[in-house]
Amino acid sequence: MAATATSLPIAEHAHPDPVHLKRVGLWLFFFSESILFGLFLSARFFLEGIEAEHLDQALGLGITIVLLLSSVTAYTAETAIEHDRRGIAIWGLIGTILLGLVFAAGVGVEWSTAEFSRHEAFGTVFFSMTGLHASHVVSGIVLLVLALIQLLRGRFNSKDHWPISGVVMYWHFVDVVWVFYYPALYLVQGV
Amino acid sequence: MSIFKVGWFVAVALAVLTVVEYIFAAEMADATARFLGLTLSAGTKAGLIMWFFMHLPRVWRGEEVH
Amino acid sequence: MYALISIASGVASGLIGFYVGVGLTALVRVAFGHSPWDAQISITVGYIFGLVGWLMGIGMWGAWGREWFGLPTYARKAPGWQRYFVFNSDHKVIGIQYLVTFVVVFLLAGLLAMVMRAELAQAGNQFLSNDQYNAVMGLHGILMIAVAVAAVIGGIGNYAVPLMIGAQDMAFPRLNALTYWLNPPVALLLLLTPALGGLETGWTAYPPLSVLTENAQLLFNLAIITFGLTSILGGLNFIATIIFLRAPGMTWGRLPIFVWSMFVASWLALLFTQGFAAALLMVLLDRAFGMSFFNAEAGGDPLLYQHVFWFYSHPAVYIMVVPGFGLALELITHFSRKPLFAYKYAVGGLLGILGLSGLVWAHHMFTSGMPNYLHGPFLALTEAISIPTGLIFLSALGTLFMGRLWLKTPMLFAMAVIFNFALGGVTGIFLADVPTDIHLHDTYFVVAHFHYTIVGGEIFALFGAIYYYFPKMTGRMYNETLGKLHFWWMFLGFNVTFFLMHWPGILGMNRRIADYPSSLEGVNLIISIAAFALGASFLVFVYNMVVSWVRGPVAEANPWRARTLEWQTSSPPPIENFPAPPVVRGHPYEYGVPGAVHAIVPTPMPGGAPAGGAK
Ligand SMILES: [Cu+2]
Repeated sequence: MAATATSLPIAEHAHPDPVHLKRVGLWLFFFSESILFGLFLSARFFLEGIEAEHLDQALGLGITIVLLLSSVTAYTAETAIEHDRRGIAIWGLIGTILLGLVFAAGVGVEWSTAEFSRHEAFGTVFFSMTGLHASHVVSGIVLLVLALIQLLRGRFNSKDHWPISGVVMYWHFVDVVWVFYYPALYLVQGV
Repeated sequence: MSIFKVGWFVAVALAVLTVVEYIFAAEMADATARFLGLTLSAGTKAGLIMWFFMHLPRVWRGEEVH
Repeated sequence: MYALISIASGVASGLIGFYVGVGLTALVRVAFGHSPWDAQISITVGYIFGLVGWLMGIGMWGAWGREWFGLPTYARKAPGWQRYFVFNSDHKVIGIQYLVTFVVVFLLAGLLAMVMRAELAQAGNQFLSNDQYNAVMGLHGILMIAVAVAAVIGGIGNYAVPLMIGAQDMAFPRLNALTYWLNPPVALLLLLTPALGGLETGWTAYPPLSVLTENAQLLFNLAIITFGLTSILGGLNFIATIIFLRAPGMTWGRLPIFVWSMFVASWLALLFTQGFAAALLMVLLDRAFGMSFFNAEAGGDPLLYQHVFWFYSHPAVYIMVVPGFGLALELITHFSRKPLFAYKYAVGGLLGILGLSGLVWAHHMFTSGMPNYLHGPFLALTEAISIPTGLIFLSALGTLFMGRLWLKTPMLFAMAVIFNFALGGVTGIFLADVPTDIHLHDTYFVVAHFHYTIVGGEIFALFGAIYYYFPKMTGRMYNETLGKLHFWWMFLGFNVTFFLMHWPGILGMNRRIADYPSSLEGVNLIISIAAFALGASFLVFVYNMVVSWVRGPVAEANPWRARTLEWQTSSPPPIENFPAPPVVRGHPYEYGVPGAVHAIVPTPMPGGAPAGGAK
């Protein structure tokens, strides 16, 4: 089967939509990260069962609602830029960043007022789980700020907005982690 | 604004579930039932976020044309 | 010059990053009323900043980082050999970077094994103290683990998979470059461990010792968490590549078996590597912040570590050995000149391993004191995994049966894989069964067993693949006589060393200890001599590789008359692999089947090398 250029069909290389490829790659990354979070969650039950020390329930519920709200604003920002509504997208991102900062501050308050120490088992799981999660919140805020700066400079439109979609997906993922961590730390022992 | 409609529905559902979850944890005395109920609620919330906010179906349906 | 600039700016910005990190830590600590320096925290933060600095300096900033700030990107272009020293996103360059790096690491870790065997040639302490022996053994272990995880996947996988599926590159080329350039800091940290007290815990890093020991452990943890990241990102990249970038007509049923094995290993890496990262992160938190994951006094439990750690480290042996199986089957079918026997069952076997490998981890913990009710299930599940493995053996033996064997060096290595792994598999049964394992646990029987599976199963496949792809990668042919000499020398040295090692193991000789009862001296001396012979065999390999790369005879595009796609392009392939994608029409292994066509490759190569497929 000696090949010549003319006698054979010329095919196209597989060119999947680059955004789709990145989306799947990001999901694979989340899949992997969720194992890390899952193992810390398992460590909590392995060491402590459903036992817990006293926590500020009002604060816990408050920051949970704040983080869920930030997901709503992030969704609003992404949907807005998909429809070229730049103004709403900008405010959506700003809102997400602010709510994220409030959440991080709330975790900080919880840390400084906790009545247990990190040297004991419940403290170990509480501080490591919230710390691991908070480190993702902080990196998410940094990424949101980078996206916001570019948005303010006039980049992104309905055809080209993957960085915003990607960052927003990451933010939602961080929220999903908290959806599991919150009841496991605050609620499972009974309020 | 119609383009955000899905977002608001999901937001309301998440809020309701969060409150219900809190009350459930406060009222349910049986530890096993509490654990299972909370797991179910967290799974539902995570599913809502992943399906609607993170556009999970786009993984297999491909990118939609806006 | 380009190479020098690239490496120098990487090192410089890495160092700057390290000092910035240490300085920031000091500022924050002083602000909160602590002393400015805390070894655990300062080194950790400094390392994270230094790692980012190194990556940016080596070229990630220009090729990628600028994009995050909306700036135009650029890539350092370097000619000739210098392209191996820059942030290069070509999968063929990255594959060779991985291979050369990890062959060097392999030889280094092999030297450490020679040191251990010299010490163990006689009972009593010869020239190493117990601590020094631990340090040597720990370093040998973790470096070899790194080789086993990265050499085939990162080296052969990166080089061959895009070519075999008819793609131009990986799905995420810049991520691929990032994955490679994360490795030098890992090597640096591990090689620094002897300076900070040496690894006392071996590569498994069990607490409580790993929490209490020297700061070498800290470097180890940082290094392996980084290494885990490379493994995860690499796996992610392969999965996306294999799903999305296959050439037209390359259906799942026509995928070369090595690509299948890489697909399975990539999923294993993506899912389980976080276990090692999580376990070491917990150790790090215990060390740095006085947390109590493993401090039983405060409610922690050292068994937690073993569960989390083996949750990764059992699947890790499949991350290592599954691509080895894939390579062995690939080579056996090409060199038997007949279709791969029971292709579908072999794929099923690989997927079966993927499904079961996450359910067997506690067979490493039969003597750990975990609850007894776990023994039965983990025994049964571990035995069950020999069923999918058996399917792969079936495929290999069926292909060999009545084949027209072409006994070139790669084929010899591939057949050795089957031989060695059969032995490693049989001894595995005794370790999976609780009653025998309780006696054999932590003895040289275990050492012999896992060297038979990992070295015998994977490293032999790696060397087979290096010989097989040498003409494709370099455009030159290796010396066949020296290749065969290397094979027989290595094969005999390996089998004498590790087969004999079962015996002192059965007699209860403990692994990881510098000394043993003097009644075992004779057999240990023979093992040591055989091990030195095994070590010396690699001199032949290195000589052959270096001389052939520089002035070996020019190789054809397809010296093996293989049908898979990587051989239907020139040696070495052009930067875009195929000018237009091949159109796949049939199964890749239809050797001797009249009229069978695997793929049609549209245009002849620019260099004039023949591009036609082999019949
Ligand atoms: Cu195992």
